[in-house]
Amino acid sequence: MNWDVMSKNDAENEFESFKQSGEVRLDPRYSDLRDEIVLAYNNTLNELNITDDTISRGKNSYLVDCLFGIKLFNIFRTNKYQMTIRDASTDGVWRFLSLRVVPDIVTRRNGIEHPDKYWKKAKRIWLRAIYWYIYLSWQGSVEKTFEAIKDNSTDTITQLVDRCGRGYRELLCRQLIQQLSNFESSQRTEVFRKVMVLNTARSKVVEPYLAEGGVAQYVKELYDYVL
Amino acid sequence: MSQSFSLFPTLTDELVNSINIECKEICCCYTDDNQEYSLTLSDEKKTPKSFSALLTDERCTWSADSHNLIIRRKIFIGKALALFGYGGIADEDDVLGIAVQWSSPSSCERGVSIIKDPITRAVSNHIFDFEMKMNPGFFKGDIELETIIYLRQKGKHKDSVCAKKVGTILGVIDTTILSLDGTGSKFPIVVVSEEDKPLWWLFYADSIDASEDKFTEDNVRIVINKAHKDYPLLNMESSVKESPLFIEVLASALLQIVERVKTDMGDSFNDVINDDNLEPGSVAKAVNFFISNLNWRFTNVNELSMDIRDFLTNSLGGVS
Repeated sequence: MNWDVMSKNDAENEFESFKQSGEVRLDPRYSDLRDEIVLAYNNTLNELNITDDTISRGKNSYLVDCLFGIKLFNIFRTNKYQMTIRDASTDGVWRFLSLRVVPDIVTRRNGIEHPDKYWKKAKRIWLRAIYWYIYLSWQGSVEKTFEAIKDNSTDTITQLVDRCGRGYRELLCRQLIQQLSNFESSQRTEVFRKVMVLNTARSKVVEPYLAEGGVAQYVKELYDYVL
Repeated sequence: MSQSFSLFPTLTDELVNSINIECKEICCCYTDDNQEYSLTLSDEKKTPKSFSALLTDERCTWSADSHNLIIRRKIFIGKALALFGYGGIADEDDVLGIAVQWSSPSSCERGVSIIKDPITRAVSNHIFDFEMKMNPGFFKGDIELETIIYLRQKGKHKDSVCAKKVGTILGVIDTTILSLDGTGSKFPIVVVSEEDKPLWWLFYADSIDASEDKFTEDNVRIVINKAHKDYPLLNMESSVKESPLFIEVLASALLQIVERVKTDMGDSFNDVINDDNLEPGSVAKAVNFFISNLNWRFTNVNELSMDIRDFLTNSLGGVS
């Protein structure tokens, strides 16, 4: 699919306009995609027994990010849309989706007060963040992925997605998430933060993909060290 | 500014010289219809330890969206002995390796490509072959390739000052930066469906400054009209070489672009001929590439038209 791209300038204007009017200025070429995303979001709330009013309670918002993120990731992976890494790493694509296709969904999850979630800070654009979270956490199937990440938190998303540096080491990220799932939910936020800081330092000296025992062993040693 | 220091010996310029290491030129290519085609490295900038270039395709076919990218290189080591033991970066019975750490911040991806052959102290006059293949739709913008030496296997010496952990990076031999999304790597073509319009036309934005504005879809593009009755004759779904009509479209579009830049720039067209102060990736830079690298005769429109057709027919294979 030839994705439209929105500049930051245009995004700022579009956001202000949406804030005023609340109207979705849908590009007709994206109407099918919009329908699929809206359905996915509504199904997510139904499956989790959460409403727009209860989304901010406890861990509800994270669970929505998880499950909806997986559904969104699957929509974009289909033959119809075939979102590539090139597409997913283009911030303008996410600005366009957030402001011209499903701005109302972004609002339902995040409110209207935070432009970062729509366009302003690339890694904080909500749709972009949850897509990359799922991509970097992917465990081979929807079920395994959800099982691995359901007891994490929104802090996990930030820790994983924000630390892009010169690029994500995709297999490393997936192994980090897989081994994190061995920990109790209450420990995970702190453990993951420590592991990510340690990895940032250690990977400058030892290339994770060249370590003895491979990535799995490298990651195990990170977790063993922080405990 | 922070400085880092290493707790173990790492590669020095002196060591690099003593092992007589030589990294040959990088070759980039792609496959199209099961045939391999080379990409050109242009706009090269070299220093002793780094090299950067723009990837361009003389066939005007390659696109990082729809084609793969294959990168190859040969690395020669004359005598590896100095890397091992006293004064080296490894113990005598260690095994070292060469790998390429690739990263592309604009694609949000990084990884490693390993060269199969190990480096032991016995290695002498050996050529190491490197090859990396990336799928279509993966890379965007720049790719940085750092050729590194690393500890591949630890021997029996555990008490020396040398690195102990397998995977430790012991030095960077050189760095290469390849730019993907520049001039000539993809010809901007869009497909529309508009009744009562021609089969194709060239969009050339009135407001552009050819010496600065990019040779991208926003500024210049061939517009192909699916709604036209002759659209099937273009054979757009096949490879360009199987579409003589499309080659004619491309030739005509290129002619219009060169003529338009000549007209718009007037006397300043000399800057295009001499590559004087042209922005990388600009429309004028693209025209400079055509004139200087492909020797198109731009002073006479008929000769220019023939040169363009010759070039496209020869580089795209024509029709048998």
